[in-house]
Amino acid sequence: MKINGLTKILLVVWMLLTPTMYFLLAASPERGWMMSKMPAVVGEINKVLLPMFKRDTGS
Amino acid sequence: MTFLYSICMVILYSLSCLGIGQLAMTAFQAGHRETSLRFTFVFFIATFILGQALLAAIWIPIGLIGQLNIIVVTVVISIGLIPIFIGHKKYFNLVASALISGWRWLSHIDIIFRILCFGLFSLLFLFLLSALLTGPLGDAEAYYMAYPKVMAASGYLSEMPGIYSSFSQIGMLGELHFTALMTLGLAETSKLFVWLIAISAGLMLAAICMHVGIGKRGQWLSFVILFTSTGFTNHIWDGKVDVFPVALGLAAVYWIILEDRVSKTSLRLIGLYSGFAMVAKFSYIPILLPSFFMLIAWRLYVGSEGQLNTRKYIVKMAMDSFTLSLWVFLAWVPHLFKNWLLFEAPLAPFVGLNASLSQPWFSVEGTAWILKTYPLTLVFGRYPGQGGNLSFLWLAFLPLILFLPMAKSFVRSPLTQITTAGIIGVGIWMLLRPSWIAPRYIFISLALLIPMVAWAAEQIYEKEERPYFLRIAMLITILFALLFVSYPHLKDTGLKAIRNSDIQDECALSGEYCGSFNLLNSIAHLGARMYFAGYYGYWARADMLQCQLSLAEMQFLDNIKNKNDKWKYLLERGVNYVVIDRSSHAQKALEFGSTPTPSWLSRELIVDDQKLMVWKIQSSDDKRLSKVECNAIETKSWKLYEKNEEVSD
Repeated sequence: MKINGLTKILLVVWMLLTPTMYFLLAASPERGWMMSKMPAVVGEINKVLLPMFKRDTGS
Repeated sequence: MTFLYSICMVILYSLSCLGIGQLAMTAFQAGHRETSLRFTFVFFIATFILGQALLAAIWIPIGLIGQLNIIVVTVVISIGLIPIFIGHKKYFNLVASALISGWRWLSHIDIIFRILCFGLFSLLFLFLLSALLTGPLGDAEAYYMAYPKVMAASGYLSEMPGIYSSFSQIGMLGELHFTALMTLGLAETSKLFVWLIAISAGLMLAAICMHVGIGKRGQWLSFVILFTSTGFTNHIWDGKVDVFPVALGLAAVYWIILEDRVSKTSLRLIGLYSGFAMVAKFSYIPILLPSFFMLIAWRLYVGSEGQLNTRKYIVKMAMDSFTLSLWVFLAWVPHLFKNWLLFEAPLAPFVGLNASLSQPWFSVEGTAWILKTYPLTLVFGRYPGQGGNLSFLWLAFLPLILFLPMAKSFVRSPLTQITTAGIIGVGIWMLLRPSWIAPRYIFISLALLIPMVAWAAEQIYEKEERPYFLRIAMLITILFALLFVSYPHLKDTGLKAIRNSDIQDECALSGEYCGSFNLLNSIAHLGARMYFAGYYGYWARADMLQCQLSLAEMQFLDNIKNKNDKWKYLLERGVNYVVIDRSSHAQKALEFGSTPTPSWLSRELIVDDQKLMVWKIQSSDDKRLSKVECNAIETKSWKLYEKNEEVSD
């Protein structure tokens, strides 16, 4: 069966994307280590990012 | 020893189902010696599936006359075992040859695919362990196994006491098998029987794949996709009964596609299989009727092309529909009879009783979002009540369909036919119950979408030219699927079972209600009445489940405004224990815990843990005693009796 290289790569990406998506969306929130840590990770990122973009609204 | 006993009993029970199925098939064969009833391994599986449905139907009249006891159950099972004893050599040879040919195929395929197949075996073993070792979960803890516990203890198929009384109107298959096994001494382990039904469903799906021209590898892939669909596998071990209709529905589909022109015998079998599937799960009524009708009409059109003119075609279709409807009705008779006797409403819960069957689960916006995201929502959704997903392998391999060689005739292709039937089933569900996003309600239709994808995956796997990127990606994806589905069982069953091997805590694998109720069970006297404000009552003692406050009494209690009058009513109704699930009835827990009791009533908090609050209540005034008591007079069945003496106010 002849499938060209680019199509093959796209199909491979799609196939590997589905378990990743499943892990992130369906499998992990309560029990998985990664998603359970996400709020804390996002909080840490915000600590750095928010001051950088904070507008001076005092005046 | 208990587990070994459970395994032996489930095997004997399953053999009895097979025997009863064999008796039924022999009756079919006696009148119609047709090719569709050849003795093959698939026929063997289909016979077992039919037999278990018939056995469940047999338990209904027995239960209605209160004879679901160890003697009657043993006699019926023994009758079912007779054909197996007679034909044991034939059965043994059949199973052995199927296993040997499967093993030979496995030993000749590439090593990586072979490893994945053994990974699948490990997954199936984990499901078996979970079914055997864990307690019922969720809805099963509330109703699907609590009701069998009550029936097995009382011997009666009667209305479920308590909050789930209206659920007794629904069709029953799995619940009755649990009941029969519980009368033989099994408890939670009776759900092991579901594991065998699930394997049978998988084998029927593989048989459908084989019949539509998919090779061995594709059949294995369909099996893998099915058993990595948590919408299916969650109900193998949690004690729910959603797997039963899937096995029956797939057996019906197998018989539809078995012959080019569906014979009368096949029509009868299709009617029985699909009828029992609809009894087992009412959600299949609007799905199976149109999709199976379409499938049969399509098969007839293709099978008789050129031989039947339009008029003859319509007449033949009408006759086939009549035969099919008649046998569907026959499958429904025990259920209608049960509802007629218990509720005087054979068509309940649809006609005759007020039961809400159409309330939406989500808001209009939420429902619109669900509809927009089909089929992704089936694969990735985590909505409340969804109860599992369709395997992500299905979605991962779906684009591979685009690279399949064009079929000579789409219309004639049975693969196209069953896929269309599956799409129609899902489409109907989206139209009728758009907010009910739960794969378990439509899994027969979803299972029919698997063979096309399995075939595409097989074709690409076997015919891909170097470099084998796709093949490797497929294997990695399958490996992930097996790992993701195995993980909770390794963690929640395997590890917990190992940790518990020294402690011997019977509630270690059974959720938090088990310990709370066990404490109450050890304190409460036989025939104690409880007011249970909660859902998950399986672990309460069987006599307490039977004696609990009825739904009507609970509704009456809720309508009493004066708090003193509530206490008075509870005492009058003979309630000894107020049991409140604090996670689902937090307000009630607060109300009963904080409001002062009348001077003549004593209240003692005897259980106070994360899940339950239990108060023992009793009157300290001899003049204020209960007007009813729960007794088991001459039978094991506990009933309420009005006390003769008048209680003065």
